[in-house]
Amino acid sequence: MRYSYNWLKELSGTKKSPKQLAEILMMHAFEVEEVWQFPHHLENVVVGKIMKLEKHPNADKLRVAEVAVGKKDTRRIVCGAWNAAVGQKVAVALPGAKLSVSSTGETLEIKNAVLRGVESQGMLCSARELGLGNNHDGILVLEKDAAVGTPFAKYAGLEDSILEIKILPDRGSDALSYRGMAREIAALGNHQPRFVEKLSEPLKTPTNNRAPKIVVQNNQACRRYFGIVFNDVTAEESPLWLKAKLILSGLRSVSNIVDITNYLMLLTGQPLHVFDADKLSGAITIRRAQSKERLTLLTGETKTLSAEDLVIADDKQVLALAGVMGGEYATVTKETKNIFLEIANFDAVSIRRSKVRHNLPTDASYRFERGLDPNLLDEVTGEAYALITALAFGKCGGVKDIYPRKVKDWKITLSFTRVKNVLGAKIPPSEAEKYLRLLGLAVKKTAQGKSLEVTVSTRRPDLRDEWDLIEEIGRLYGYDRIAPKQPRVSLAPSAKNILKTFEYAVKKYLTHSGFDELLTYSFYGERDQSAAHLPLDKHLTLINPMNPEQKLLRMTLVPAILRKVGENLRHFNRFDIFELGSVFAHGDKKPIKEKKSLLITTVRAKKSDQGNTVSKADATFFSLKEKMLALFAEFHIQDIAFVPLNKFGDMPEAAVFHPTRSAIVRSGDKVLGILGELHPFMARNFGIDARVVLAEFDVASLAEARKAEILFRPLSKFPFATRDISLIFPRLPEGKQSAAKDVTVAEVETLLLEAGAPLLKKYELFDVYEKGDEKSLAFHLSFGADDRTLSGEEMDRTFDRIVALAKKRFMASLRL
Amino acid sequence: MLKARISTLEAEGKNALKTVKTIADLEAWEIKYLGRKSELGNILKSLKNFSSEEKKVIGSLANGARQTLAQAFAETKARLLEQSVDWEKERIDVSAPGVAVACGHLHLITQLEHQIEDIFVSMGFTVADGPEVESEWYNFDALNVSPDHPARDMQDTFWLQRDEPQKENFLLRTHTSSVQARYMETHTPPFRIIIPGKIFRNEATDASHEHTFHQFECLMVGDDVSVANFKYIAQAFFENFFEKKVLIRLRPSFFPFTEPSFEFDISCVLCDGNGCPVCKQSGWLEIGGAGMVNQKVFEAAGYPRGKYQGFAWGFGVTRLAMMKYKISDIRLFMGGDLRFIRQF
Repeated sequence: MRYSYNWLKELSGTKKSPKQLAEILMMHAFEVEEVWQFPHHLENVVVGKIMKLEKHPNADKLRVAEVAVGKKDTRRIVCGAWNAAVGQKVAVALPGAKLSVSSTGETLEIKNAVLRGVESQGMLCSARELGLGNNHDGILVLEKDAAVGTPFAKYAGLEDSILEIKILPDRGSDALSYRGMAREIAALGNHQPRFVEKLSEPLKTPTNNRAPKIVVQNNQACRRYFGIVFNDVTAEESPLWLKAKLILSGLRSVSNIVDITNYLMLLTGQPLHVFDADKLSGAITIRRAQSKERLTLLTGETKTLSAEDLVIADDKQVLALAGVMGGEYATVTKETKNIFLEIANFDAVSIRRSKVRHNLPTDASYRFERGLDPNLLDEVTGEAYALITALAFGKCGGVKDIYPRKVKDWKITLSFTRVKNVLGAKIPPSEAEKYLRLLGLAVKKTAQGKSLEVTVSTRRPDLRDEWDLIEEIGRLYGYDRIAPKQPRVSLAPSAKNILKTFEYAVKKYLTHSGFDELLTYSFYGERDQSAAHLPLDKHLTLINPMNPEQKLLRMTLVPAILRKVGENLRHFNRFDIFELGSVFAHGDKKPIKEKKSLLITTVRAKKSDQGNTVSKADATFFSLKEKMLALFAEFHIQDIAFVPLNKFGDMPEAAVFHPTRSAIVRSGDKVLGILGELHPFMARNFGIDARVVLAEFDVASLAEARKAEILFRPLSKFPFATRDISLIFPRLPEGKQSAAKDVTVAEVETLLLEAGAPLLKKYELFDVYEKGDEKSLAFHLSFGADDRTLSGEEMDRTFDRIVALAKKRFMASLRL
Repeated sequence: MLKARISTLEAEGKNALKTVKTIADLEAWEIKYLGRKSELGNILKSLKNFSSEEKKVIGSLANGARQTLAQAFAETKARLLEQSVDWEKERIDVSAPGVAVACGHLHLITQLEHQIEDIFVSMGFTVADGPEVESEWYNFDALNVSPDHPARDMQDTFWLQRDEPQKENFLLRTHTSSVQARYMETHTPPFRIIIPGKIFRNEATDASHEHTFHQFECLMVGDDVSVANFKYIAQAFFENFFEKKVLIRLRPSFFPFTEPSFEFDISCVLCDGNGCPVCKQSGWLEIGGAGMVNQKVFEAAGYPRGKYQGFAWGFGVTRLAMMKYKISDIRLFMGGDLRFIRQF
């Protein structure tokens, strides 16, 4: 809220400067977002007195005035205002003034000018030209006692500083008002506020009470409703002091009646609303709207109401959206003669919902939705009466106050031990007590003197329990006075987060193998989902995404990473990246399945293909495969198998992988993830022209697959003997024995292990040769035994067994 | 006579060495003058036949000659070895590049998260975590954020579509505080935990706003954990993190899940509180929110009201990174540009 410094000073009696005040408030109460000098645009505007007024020699509608603007300083000013008269005190803009006109905001620069042959040495100003409302019907006439020569801004009370203060959401009830802020400032200054804290006298109900009947249908949504009728009001401009207070607080001046309601809202925090009483018919009812009921607001906009909206209605129609905005129909105008003034208390939740539903943030809804005190009305009614009678000349025609369940003050017992324990500072009980008193709370020591009985005024609904009071004591004492203190804690070691530790170790390992870590958004749109051929129905969907391209929660990290691959290819032609993050999908049993996924990606521009045991085009795949094997070795993930992907066609994430250049990665029976080339169609969909190999793993599966226990194996004392084997496999006709056309390395390895046991200790593929209908694989074999040096015969026997099994199983022959 | 012979041999050997030009010649020379069957060798071997007096004189003379020759030999050998290679021919241009060894980079956020975790773990904190898709209960209700609190506005929270009638609403967690309630349900105080994680706010992105960023939550609960303790832990953490003296400043604030609540600032680590553009000349940096856990949060977790007390605080890792490295655009963090990633 925007506060005028002078007004706060007047109410609180503070002697602090605006800057000091901002500092104190920040450390003890509220953040002051900005302090600035009010830009009144009234330099070179002074109070003047019209000494003489003559007809303009060359224009019928103009007059020439002699205006005193200082001792021995009189100016001749041409003036067109009908209401100018000799003896009046007026606002005179002298040459050099740069006025900001209310309605348009444009700047009006004043210079000496010749008007129809007469030189004018300034301008007599209307309210509008001074930025003080919309009245342009004649000049603004000042009070008789205005001192000639005084800067007008000073006279009008516009030389002021403004404080923009961010009121905490739980303090809306008291601090969104000048009085509340003045109380706070006084308390922080260790004194009482200057204004007198007293309730206005209950209004006397006129003997002939002509207030309409008021029916509150919903006691919960409308806790109190106070209505006053004023007759024979005169709608006119507000006096300057009132205008100035509104303008300084960031509001516009409209007319005396509207200005009074705004002034009282600023002063007390209580919103008020005025209806044209002559437009009302029958009883005033506070009720829920009927579904589809319509209301044209005073802005001219028509809203269709919901059955949850609270409205003010008469016998014929809805008059206002309660606590939010009035309707157009019964709004006050210049012609209004009789008014019905509403001062009511509405429930925060109901108002908030209506505000959100209709998107109508107003000064009233802002206050109501934070929760107001129904007893606040008692502070307001008397002042409202006094101001409307004094400034709009209304006569009270009737009063109604519906307040079925009076809210009463409540008590909290506050233990001094608790204060000390929570704050961790020894604040003397008498000091704690003082702070609470300064905040206007009634305090009584209990019998043992170990605690206080605090009576909280209904004005502070935020103070509900001991901790709320401790906060008040703490902030008034000053948090900066609480010295840091080491906690007394148990030395028990902290529990390890095994999965987190594993995740970090994996990330760290990958960076050492040359991979850069990326983080990407957790969502993408249907464009990426369809480009990656992912099933739309498995995705979780956001109701309110930033844009349609961020509507789906990622079920795999692939689409986002592919976009990043495309972008980074503009700068780099080979790179290795990974991301570890959460992915989401509809669960089978639970509505939501969330798991951590690891996507490792190798990208090579096609010109950089290279390889030895594998063809150049395949090198990228095998390079990533080897890196993954090293990763598994690092984390003791064993029994790794790469199974051609096509056997697992039902995994939805598999769609992005090349159908014949990809593998399911398993550790024993457990599936860890998929490793493979990017499907060429996907590459095209994502606009990528490079070899991209992806490996996506389920992180929890990786963590579980780690070998639990690692035991030492004695080192062999006997040397291994090595021998090479080269086997030629004829290509099998399709459909016979196996679906795969060629024998795979894995099949041959299985064979080696089977036939080579127990003496074959190691094997290593060193050559692959394919020609015509033959495929040849060559391995280095290492033989050995733990308890002896092998004889040549033993080795020969094993070697022959391998050859025999290869022949039997695959019709293979030994290359000689 | 033998004495003269020894001197001659020494002189002869020295002279002969001067004409040696190759390693092969040197080896021949070595056999001739220093070998086991060399003349000098034989003299030394024959020493046992002499009287003790002669042995003394001749022995020292012969050994001296042998040492002199051996030293000369070593020097010549070193010289010849040095000369035997054409070093210029072997020269490489050391300024030329080799075969690049790829070195990857952890994302800056990961680096900082780990650094932060390390400090807290050293103070006995446990690292906890929880899901990013969270139920309305854990993200809001359990933290005393009532259904009508402005934080639940559509503008702030990404809500998930309910495809079938389900009891709960789900959302993308708006803070790591959601893990507080989860942790408390299964643990009894005293405990101290930190929760790093990715969080989501439904707001438009620009250089200083991002809908996805990383946060830290710190929660310590016990019988007597106080505001003063919070100040100690926060200060200890930041001094450790920035490796310099840091002051903590608490200002009143409001959060539904804490009471009392604070905004907390640290003295500007760039200008040491003297005022600079980063701290807008105030000498302080706004870091995050904190407070003493609201008893209603404890109650929601099933703890008896008033039995425990403790603090909770949260701060943005992304923000901390921007401050520490003077990063001007927050979007770079999730932007995936390797030119950014590789700088850290």
